[in-house]
Amino acid sequence: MPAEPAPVAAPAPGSVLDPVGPEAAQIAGLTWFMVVLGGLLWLATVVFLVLALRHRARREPRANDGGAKAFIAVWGVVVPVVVLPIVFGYSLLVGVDTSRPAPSGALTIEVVGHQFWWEVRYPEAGVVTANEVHVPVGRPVRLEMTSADVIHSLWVPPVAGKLDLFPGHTNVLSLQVDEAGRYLGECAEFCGIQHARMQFVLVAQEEDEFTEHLRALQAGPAEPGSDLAEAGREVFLAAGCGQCHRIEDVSEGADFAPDLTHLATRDTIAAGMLENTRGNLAGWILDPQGLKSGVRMPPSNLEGEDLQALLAYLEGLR
Amino acid sequence: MRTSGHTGEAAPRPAPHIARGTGWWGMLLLQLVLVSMLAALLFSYFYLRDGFDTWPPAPAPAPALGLTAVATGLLVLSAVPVAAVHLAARAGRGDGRFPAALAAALALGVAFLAVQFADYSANDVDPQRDVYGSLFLALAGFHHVNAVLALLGLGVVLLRVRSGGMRPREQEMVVTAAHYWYFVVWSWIVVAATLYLIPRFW
Amino acid sequence: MTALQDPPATEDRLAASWATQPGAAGWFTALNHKQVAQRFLVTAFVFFGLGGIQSVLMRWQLGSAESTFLDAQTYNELFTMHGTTMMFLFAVPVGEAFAMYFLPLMLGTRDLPFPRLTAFGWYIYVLGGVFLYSSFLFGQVPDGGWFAYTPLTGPEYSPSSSIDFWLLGVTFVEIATIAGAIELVVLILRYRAPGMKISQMPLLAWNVLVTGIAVIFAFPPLVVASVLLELDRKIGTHFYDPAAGGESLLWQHLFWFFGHPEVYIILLPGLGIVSTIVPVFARSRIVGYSLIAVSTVAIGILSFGVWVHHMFTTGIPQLGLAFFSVASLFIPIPSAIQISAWIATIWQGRAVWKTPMMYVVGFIVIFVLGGVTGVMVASVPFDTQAHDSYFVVAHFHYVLIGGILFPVLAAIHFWMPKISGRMLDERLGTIAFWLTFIGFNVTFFPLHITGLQGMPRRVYTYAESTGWELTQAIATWGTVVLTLGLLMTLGNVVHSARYGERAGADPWGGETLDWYATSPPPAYNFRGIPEIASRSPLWDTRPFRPRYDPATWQDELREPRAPVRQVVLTSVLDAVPEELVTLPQKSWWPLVMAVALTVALIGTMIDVYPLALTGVLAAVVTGVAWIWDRQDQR
Repeated sequence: MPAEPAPVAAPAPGSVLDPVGPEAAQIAGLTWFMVVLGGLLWLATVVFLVLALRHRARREPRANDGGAKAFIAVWGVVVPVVVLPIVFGYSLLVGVDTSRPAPSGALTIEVVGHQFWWEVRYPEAGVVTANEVHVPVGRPVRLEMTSADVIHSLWVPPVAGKLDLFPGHTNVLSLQVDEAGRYLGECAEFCGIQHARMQFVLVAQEEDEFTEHLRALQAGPAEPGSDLAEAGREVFLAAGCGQCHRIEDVSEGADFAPDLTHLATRDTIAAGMLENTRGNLAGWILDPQGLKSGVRMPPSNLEGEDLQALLAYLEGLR
Repeated sequence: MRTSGHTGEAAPRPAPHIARGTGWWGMLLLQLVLVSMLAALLFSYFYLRDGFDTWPPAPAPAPALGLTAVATGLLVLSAVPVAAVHLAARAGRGDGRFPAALAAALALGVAFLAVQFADYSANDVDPQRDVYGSLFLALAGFHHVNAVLALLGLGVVLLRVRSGGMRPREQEMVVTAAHYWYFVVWSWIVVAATLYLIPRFW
Repeated sequence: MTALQDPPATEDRLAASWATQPGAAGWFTALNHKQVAQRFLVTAFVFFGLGGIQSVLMRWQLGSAESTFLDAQTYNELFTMHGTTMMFLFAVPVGEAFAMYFLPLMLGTRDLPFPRLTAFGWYIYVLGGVFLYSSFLFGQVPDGGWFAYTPLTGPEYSPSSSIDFWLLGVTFVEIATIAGAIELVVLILRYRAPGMKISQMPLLAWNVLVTGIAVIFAFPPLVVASVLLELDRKIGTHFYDPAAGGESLLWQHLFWFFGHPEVYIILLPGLGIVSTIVPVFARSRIVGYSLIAVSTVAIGILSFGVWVHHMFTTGIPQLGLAFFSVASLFIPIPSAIQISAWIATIWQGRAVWKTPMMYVVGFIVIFVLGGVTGVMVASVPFDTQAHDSYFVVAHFHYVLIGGILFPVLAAIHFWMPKISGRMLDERLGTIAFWLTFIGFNVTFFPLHITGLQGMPRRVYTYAESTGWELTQAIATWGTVVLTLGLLMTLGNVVHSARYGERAGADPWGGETLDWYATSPPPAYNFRGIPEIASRSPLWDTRPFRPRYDPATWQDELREPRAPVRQVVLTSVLDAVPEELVTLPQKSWWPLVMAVALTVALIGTMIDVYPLALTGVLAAVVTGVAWIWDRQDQR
């Protein structure tokens, strides 16, 4: 029996109000402004309402009161006409600023949404990976995003607003992360049965760490480091894993399953759902439908030795 | 002030404004519903067409105009007898020629549909091939469903007028059916211009 | 001069001509607006109960992290059905139902203009709803969300029949809604009591008029969108299929061109109910009648300019977004005018703190907060964060529960005495109000925070590490309180319908003509048709002295010479009486037509096209019979 899966791999999602990038920071400021202003207007309206309820006219009025009409003019027309353009103007400024295309030196990353995982490509480095996006701290990034099937939406709350991934279109999200750390990325557009489990990890790291990470991904897959792992590679091919999953120089794969060339470098499996441990990996291989019903991966009935070999091989894919 | 319906026999000829009774208002609102549907379909057509460089998508040529020109002529012509009956009914005149005029309109309407269907096979419209064919089906289908329903309406009016003459109820029915038919005629001009001319000019 | 309501000493031909045939045949052929509207009301509340049960199940699931109470598929089905039920099967029909029952009374007439259409609308509403819910029996429950985005709902990614149940069932209900809208618009324009100028009609009539026109323009695009998607699914067209030149964004445009006005279509009857109740319990004329009417029209128009504000994150160019953002930001002004007018009216009078008024006050408190968050999500950059998160979930529950459920609860407490002739229990009603009000806020306020903490909507579960459990658990407990409050209201209604204190014609000191009829009103509403010269007829002008050509037609209406149902048709602006029209008394055709169309629907659903064709042909034949059947009215 595989170990009980421990669904704690992914980092906590940050708050919209606790930004770590310039885009989210601007929006957080706007949010606070609107919350305070709107809250005050709401409170004032409630106070007026309570006062009105407590106010006792001397007799049931026959004609309408001039003061009552003045109240409508001020609270119903003047106040909104003053307040709304301010909110709109501020929003416009923030909107223009946060949607500005990234400067030419920006790092380009391609993201393709799939039911229910993220394909991640670094075109300049020629690297393909999944469910984990590494970016250098303090450098603008262009996410060129599209979808291979239905509509998804990419959202990392403390970093930037969300943007949809459409089949047949490319949408570009510009962002920058100013604090090193691991952030939860989520799919925000309902995309099918496992929409809730379509997550990824955004890793912001210093420039040299990032370069090193990218270089590691650029290299081909690690050769199996033991006889067991060597046997595992045969199991991988014999059990048909390679028909869907690509491993560079080993299997072609298909475009609807994540590339496993550097599986072992990732923190999570199953799109942010499970920590990348031997036990979780085994559980996932044997019964993906039990863990995440509706995913495309079929269950397998690998027996003890074959499974151990396969796990050894996969764990060596650095 | 006037009474109709049960007490209608005793009532005087309706004043012109009675032509805008509840039936007229119901038909007006129904037409607004149909206009809104037509607008949604036209929006879809132009929105989707905008996604292509060539239209219709190669290799199909722009649809030939010959048959549809004939059909459109027949349909426009059908509005004449309908309008004649409509105006006479609105003025409160009964007329022995009404059944013949309505029958002529019916015949023209059916002929229109027949020529159009000949056109679809001649122009090789295939809704399953690509989105161009799908849009053709949607717009033409929307129109033809309304055309069939409006023809049925005219048919009912024809039978009623033949069997009972022109009483206030029949007058209201003529007005209502005629307005539906006008919608069929003018909406076809819009639909045909979109389906047959847009591929030539845009 | 005899009072308008006194029956004649001899045989009562008026009552006889408006009587419903006894027995089942009478039930199925009944056409009177009050009978059918009561069915609409009961049906809408049954669907509300079903949607409510779904929401309680979902809240239970979300009350703790990694809950296994529901599985992913079930959860997705529940939120789809919850949204669909509340939007299409409850919120829109319930507003129309109240209007169908009370507007003919408030406008001083006897029925809706197309009585057979009224009945037909109810039949297809019920059959469409039952069709949609029958998906549970077949294990094919719709699971694409209430806005059913393509390509997820297209043939490739939803190959089962679940989406067909949704598309066809919802389309049926839309047709019912459109039918109701046509009725109400013609009613308001042509059936007002003689002398009731359009500038004197109750504000509810303005709201329903704008709602009706908005339905007429907003619902057809969704019918079109649904038919196109059904064609994609059934015969392989390519409207939404990117691989063959289609476009999934097209669905979003068509859907939200309907979907945004839809919010106001739901809201406007609620605002009208509030404008009706406020003067009665403030014991003061409404302040700013014309401003409220104009702002109602403005809301209706502006609501068509903002559909893209549901699509701020789809990658549409910033300039376009700015345009729609401006339109969205202007909508609050007419709403602010109305809210200020209600507050001014309350201030001007001497407020009476009864249950209908409590719900109105609760409505203002909740709705203004929903308006504030509405302005926030209309701000494009903030919306990129809030969109599809729990912040939006919180926002639209404030707007919708605040905007329609609270007014509807106010309407129940206000008008149940008219419908049943008996008062609701005021003490029970007060407790229920506080439970509902507190329960609502405890449920939905914390979800704003969950949203800002990064929780997307429509997730069936979440990890403990997310930190969302606290606010979600509070929300779940709030739902318990909210449910308790609503159940208490239900108990109050059921109990008082039998044991409540007798209400009399006018228990509240009402302003409008509905309080002139007895409680419950007779089928013909008014024996003689009142003639109106003011906005507050019951406060100003009783008894309603005939002003127009009194001799003949009032007599005919009071005591028809033959047993026919007659109403007086009046001119659009000044309500000058023009003619007496005779309405049908009973008809089988609405039921037959609805059944024929349902057969066509089922045939399409199960791909048995001969069956579908049979249904269509039966519907056509019925339609001919329906038109033909006009001599049969006596």
